[in-house]
Amino acid sequence: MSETKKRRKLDKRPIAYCVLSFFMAAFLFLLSICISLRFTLLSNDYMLSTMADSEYYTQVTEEFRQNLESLGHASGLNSEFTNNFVQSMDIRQDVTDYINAFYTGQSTVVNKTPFKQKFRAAIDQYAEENKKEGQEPSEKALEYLTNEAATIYADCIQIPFFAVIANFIYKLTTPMNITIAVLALLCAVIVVIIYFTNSEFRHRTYRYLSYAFSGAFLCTIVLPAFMHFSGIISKVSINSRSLYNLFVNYFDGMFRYMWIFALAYLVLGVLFFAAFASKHKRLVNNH
Amino acid sequence: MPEHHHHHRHHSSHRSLNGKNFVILPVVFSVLILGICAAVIGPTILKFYNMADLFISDVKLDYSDNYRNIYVPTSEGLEESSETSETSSEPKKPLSSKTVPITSIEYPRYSDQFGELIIEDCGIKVPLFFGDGNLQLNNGVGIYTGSFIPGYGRPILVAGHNVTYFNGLKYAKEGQIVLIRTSYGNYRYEITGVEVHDKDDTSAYDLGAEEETLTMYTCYPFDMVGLTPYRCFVYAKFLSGPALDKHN
Repeated sequence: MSETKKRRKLDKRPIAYCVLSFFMAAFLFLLSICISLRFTLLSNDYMLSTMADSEYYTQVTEEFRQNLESLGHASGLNSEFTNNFVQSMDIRQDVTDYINAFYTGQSTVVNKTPFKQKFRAAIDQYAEENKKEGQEPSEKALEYLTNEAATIYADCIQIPFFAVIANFIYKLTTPMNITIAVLALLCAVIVVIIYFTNSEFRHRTYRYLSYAFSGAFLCTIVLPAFMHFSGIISKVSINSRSLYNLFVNYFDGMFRYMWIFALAYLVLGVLFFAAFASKHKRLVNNH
Repeated sequence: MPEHHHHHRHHSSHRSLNGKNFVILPVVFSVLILGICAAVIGPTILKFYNMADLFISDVKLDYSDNYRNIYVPTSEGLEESSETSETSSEPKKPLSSKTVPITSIEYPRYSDQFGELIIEDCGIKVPLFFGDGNLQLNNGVGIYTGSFIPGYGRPILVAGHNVTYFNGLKYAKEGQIVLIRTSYGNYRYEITGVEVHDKDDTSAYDLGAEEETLTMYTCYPFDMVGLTPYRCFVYAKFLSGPALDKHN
């Protein structure tokens, strides 16, 4: 090979490495999104832990109690009845079962029957204890009340729109795992190529890795930074306090993952730059 | 000489750190990557972004169980009104010649307690809220926000629970006086009738009427365990109270 051809080939190498860095930055960015989604949106544990952290169970129980109390005040039931009837542990268990059912691809319809049976037994007993002359409750009125209470109960257990995306979530889990593996593999391949083809001048390896990680940092930080500074998430209009807190905590957690990725990419980008600068300086001094 | 020249070139390429590239290239990468992402998923995201306006409010919602109480009792109109009650067959316009500029009052926001409703003959003396959600009806009685506030000259629809604050409506009878007290004036109404309607019976009230009427309703029957689709409506006509001047 002539000297000119050799030099031309050498001149094209930086462009090829830049292209590789570009692809690596893109894969790292996609990897951060996929892993963030995998460990948040597609994770049963994340949903349950966010519910616990945002005091969802306590708040949803209180909302159910208030709604039931309001219904009771229209149906001859006093506040004491409602306070005794509503048990936080029951709601916690039912919400957990509901979430688990979604993530395992089971039925997404809340089974109201156990609640109806329990509620009906409680109001029958209440009616018996508070019987008034000439005010015998009609079967129809009791059934109507039970059905209304069961509807309120189901509304509290269910999470709006969750039913719509649950099937999507269930189907997406396996493809997402494969995507994460493929992206990680592609990144590893690029690192190997950059590393082993620059063994003579190691500083170049660090240079291109620094480009890739810095580019990935800039891409990854855009969305969480926009969400954070615009404050959009906290301005979402949801009437239920429990759902609002769950929503805000859920998305904050999701973006927290992206912040962590962005920070990690930034640190790696800076470290590779420092390594590059150090190697480069040594090389220049040697010459 | 060429050997020396080559060596010189190689040497000079190492000499410069070329730090600009460490900023420019990542920026170019990120712009390209985000641009490609925007081109691929942008149209889909844009649909959701436009829809987001429906779910995003300008201010953070208040989820506290506390409500604002803007009611400061006033004696304005009470004396004149007692005279009025004796002549309850008088016309529907306020006997008090006073009008209150609407801009001078603190118009209630949803969930505010802005007055109290009193029917002495029924043993009712309860806080009056603007809005008839759970919070309001668990703490008093509430005006349906699709109706109007006292003094506005249009129908007022008030809801309450039959076990608690409106339990006394079971004693409601024609001719009894209803007093609504607010910070901007006191209003008297006279009960004209009591009827039971289905909850979906829209003929039970007319919110489009051009006169001030008061309709109070609660679940029916009273004091019975169970829920029915029936509601007890108590109708009252306006007697007295300062009119709200909507042009000032």
